[in-house]
Amino acid sequence: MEFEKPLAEWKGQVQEIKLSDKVIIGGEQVFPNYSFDGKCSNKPAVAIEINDVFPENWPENLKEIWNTDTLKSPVERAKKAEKEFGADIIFFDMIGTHQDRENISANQAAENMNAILKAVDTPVIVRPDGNFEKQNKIFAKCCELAERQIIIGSAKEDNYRTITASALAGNHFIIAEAPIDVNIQKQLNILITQMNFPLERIIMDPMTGGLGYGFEYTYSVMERIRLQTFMDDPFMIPPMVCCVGQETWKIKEIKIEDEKYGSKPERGINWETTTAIGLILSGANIVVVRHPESVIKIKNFIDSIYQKSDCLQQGI
Amino acid sequence: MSKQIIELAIQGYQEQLNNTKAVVQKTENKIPADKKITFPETAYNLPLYFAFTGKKIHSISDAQNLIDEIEKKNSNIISADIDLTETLDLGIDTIILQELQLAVESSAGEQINFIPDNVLRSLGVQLVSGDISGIAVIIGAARDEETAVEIIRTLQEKNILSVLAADYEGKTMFEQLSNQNVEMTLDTYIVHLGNKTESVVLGLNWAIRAALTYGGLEGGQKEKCLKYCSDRIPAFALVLGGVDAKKVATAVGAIAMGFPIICNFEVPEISVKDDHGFEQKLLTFELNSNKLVEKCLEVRNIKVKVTEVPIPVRYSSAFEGERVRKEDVALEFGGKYSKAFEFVEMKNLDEVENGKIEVIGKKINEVEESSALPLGIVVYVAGRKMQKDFEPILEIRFHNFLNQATGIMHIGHRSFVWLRISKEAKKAGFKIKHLGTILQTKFLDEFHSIIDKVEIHIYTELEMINKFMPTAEKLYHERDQRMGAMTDESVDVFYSCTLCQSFAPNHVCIITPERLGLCGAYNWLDGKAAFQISPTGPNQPVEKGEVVNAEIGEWEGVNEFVYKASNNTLERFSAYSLIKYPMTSCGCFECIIAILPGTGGFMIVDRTFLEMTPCGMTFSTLAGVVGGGQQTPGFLGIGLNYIVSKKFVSAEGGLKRLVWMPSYVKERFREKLDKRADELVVPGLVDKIADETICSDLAGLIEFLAEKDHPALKMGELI
Repeated sequence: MEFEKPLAEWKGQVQEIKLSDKVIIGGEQVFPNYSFDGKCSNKPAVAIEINDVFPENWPENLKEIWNTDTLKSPVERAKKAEKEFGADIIFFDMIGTHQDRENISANQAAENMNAILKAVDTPVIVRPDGNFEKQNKIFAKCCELAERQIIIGSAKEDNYRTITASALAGNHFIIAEAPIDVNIQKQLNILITQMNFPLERIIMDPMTGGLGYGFEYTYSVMERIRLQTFMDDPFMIPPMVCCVGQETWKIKEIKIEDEKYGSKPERGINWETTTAIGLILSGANIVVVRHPESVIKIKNFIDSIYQKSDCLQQGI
Repeated sequence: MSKQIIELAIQGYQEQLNNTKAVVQKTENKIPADKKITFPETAYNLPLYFAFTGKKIHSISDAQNLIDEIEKKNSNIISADIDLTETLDLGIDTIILQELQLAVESSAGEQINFIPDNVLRSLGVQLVSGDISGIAVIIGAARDEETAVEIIRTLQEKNILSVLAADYEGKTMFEQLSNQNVEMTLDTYIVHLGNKTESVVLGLNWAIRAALTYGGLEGGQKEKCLKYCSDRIPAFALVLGGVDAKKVATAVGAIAMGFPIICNFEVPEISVKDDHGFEQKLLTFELNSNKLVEKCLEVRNIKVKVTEVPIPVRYSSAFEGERVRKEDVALEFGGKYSKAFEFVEMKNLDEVENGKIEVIGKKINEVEESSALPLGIVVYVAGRKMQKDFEPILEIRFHNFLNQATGIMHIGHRSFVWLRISKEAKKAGFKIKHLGTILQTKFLDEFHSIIDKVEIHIYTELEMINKFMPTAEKLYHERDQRMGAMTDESVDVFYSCTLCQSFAPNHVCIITPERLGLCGAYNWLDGKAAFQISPTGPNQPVEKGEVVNAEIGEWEGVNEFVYKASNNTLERFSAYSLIKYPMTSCGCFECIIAILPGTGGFMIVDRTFLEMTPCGMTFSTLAGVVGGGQQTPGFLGIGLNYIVSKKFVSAEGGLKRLVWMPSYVKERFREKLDKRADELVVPGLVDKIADETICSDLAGLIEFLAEKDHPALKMGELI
């Protein structure tokens, strides 16, 4: 008897988004790497996180590889991330804008952002920190003054209006962030689009924990989101971004002195890489990491599973 | 539309046409041929004209052509014999002519207070995000300077941006405010547009740019731009003093953009029905200047965001569980100490005075410490989307809202209320009136999609309470009757609940009047209200559609909904059967039904019962079998109150099949169970149902059932 290959038939498709000539994400019609079912489409992109201020609480070995002087200059960091470390996207996390930290003003934040936009050619994700009032001021300024199209984050269930209005006026992309919850994610997407914002310019951040720190919960929530996408839920089509680095480099296993955990720098890289790969397997379209070694490993992994050119075509 | 208004509008249009013509002719020579006609610092040229046509005016000859075009189009309109649509079109033409006139004047070097694009953006973001709650285009001048200040202060308090335009008999609002030293800047939300009637258009062409910028619309999409303004830009015109023909024509233009007109003098009212069938006033008036702003908010349906509860004690959900001990009591109401009640009643919009809080009777400082007063809290609510059915849902929230204030303890509901105010709260300045403040703020904040107005009366006088209490009691009773009389057959719509899909992806609850959600927390009314409050949320209306099988409770519409909502997994669904396509469970069920082979019946176990049951499994083991969004014939997760519903597993015979349940559940529902047993003509049924004090194994159970002659034994096996 001849074997007949069972094919899952999906109706929906992840929105394809062109962030720049080089970086196109989304577009898949099947679960990650289910190339036997349909079109896998674009490779996931790897973003590197940089900050507007010196990242005090990074582990020493992570600071060393970046070089402390470089870390002090956001622009130098961005350049290094793009040119030396091969970032597809720069994730500009403006932790210094938090009212309890450096409390960088909205105007200054926009200036800092423009310096980064000028320094690199990659797409840039911009995300301020602070209470909603502070964040809203920065959303408005950054969206107004950005010298090119940016991806601005994060719209949340309780604070999505100002960012959406600003991104609408400035023609930018939005990151819609939900606390590991399918329902809230969908509702947020609907709320944003109800303000006339095109769904085609939304990227979802389902939020994540590091491996061993709630990662598996995100994994299944992302699977759920994608299930809904492929079952043709029109509001669940945006691609997804996962902030991996910030979740992994803060956990205790990476910081403690203990021989049996192996060398400290490697631990961090492995933890970051494994978490990122797991998330890619559950549908992440962008993973944001901190260590250059992780970028290489993750990209090797992506290349290895996407190596067959027919993987990108319809079926195998 | 009144003939008088139409005549004035036609006359106003004519005046404007002549005016614009004259300005263009006069300015023709002052503007060099190569100089562009445009407003400064904008990418939209003449924004209204651009939005409506997609075209731009480049030169003075373009301006001339536009005038000719409009004049030609309207050359036939001379009589008042035109309809509403034609009048509105004439209004649009009037404001386009005004815009053209101002643009020409501006290009000729005249000072025009055009709002540039960058200001549009900074105000626009605040507007779209809701920080600015509305825009008042103030046309004319107030009766006197004091009134002008009063009006502007009230608008400021409500976060409404005021744009001032046009004079009335030589007086302007701008002058009146300047004389009173009112600061007029963007930060204080006051913008002055000019003294001419034409300057109104500078407000309108700001609004239309919001549609272009934030609505993702393009020039030429006239209808969409107008709809955007009408639906999303909470602007209205406040006309003070009086009108002339030109003002009327301008106002008609504003109405065409969806902005209603409120006057402080008598005018013939105009209203239309909106998409939801609600009456929408387009032109109205309010003679009392103290109520003018409130009227504007009501007409334009503007809700002002107040999230902070303005009371002298701290307010947060963190204080909800806090008790006030006897020795800390400054004043208490109800409980065993005095009479107390609270109730919510829906009224018509014009019967409720929003913001009114009235305390009748003794105040907190007029009674001795640690004493008791009677209390009656009567809350009147009104709203376009408010329904009588929501009254109990609002009333039940008193408890939660009042408890969140530190030093306030609230227990019970309806006429069984017990409320304490602590000494510390009294010392901080807490008054009885503040109970009203809390309710007022929270109702408007949390229920803003259904409530537009809240008026509160608090009574601490026994006489008043005795007068009101019978009304309240009557209302409670009517409500219970209504809810009790509600059957699944009496409604066309059920409500879904997919709140639990985050962990049980394919589970969907269908909530009917006679079957509440399996968690016990949501009944049909809750679902209905939740949908009104959050139309994109997890509670959606489900049309029943054609009956497939009335006995097991299967409908076409419900099947279709469940199929989609369960991610294409559940094709059929029944509301009343344990065996045929039973409802799935997420894991939140209050109790579980499980069939017991050999008895012809089933058992019920609730989640607080930890011991072994006759089916050989404990609750937690059973939960593993039932949960996860799968149909498991013979097993069902339910809410406790479903047990006493007439539709309780009615497909299989309902209560007559119930053979075992925990004793405390039996006792808790005994009265209602007895009543149901009588209805089923099996008197004494409840005593035939076993519990853990009788047996926890199947053999023992069968013995007991035989001894008591339980009807289930003769009904045959369920499967």
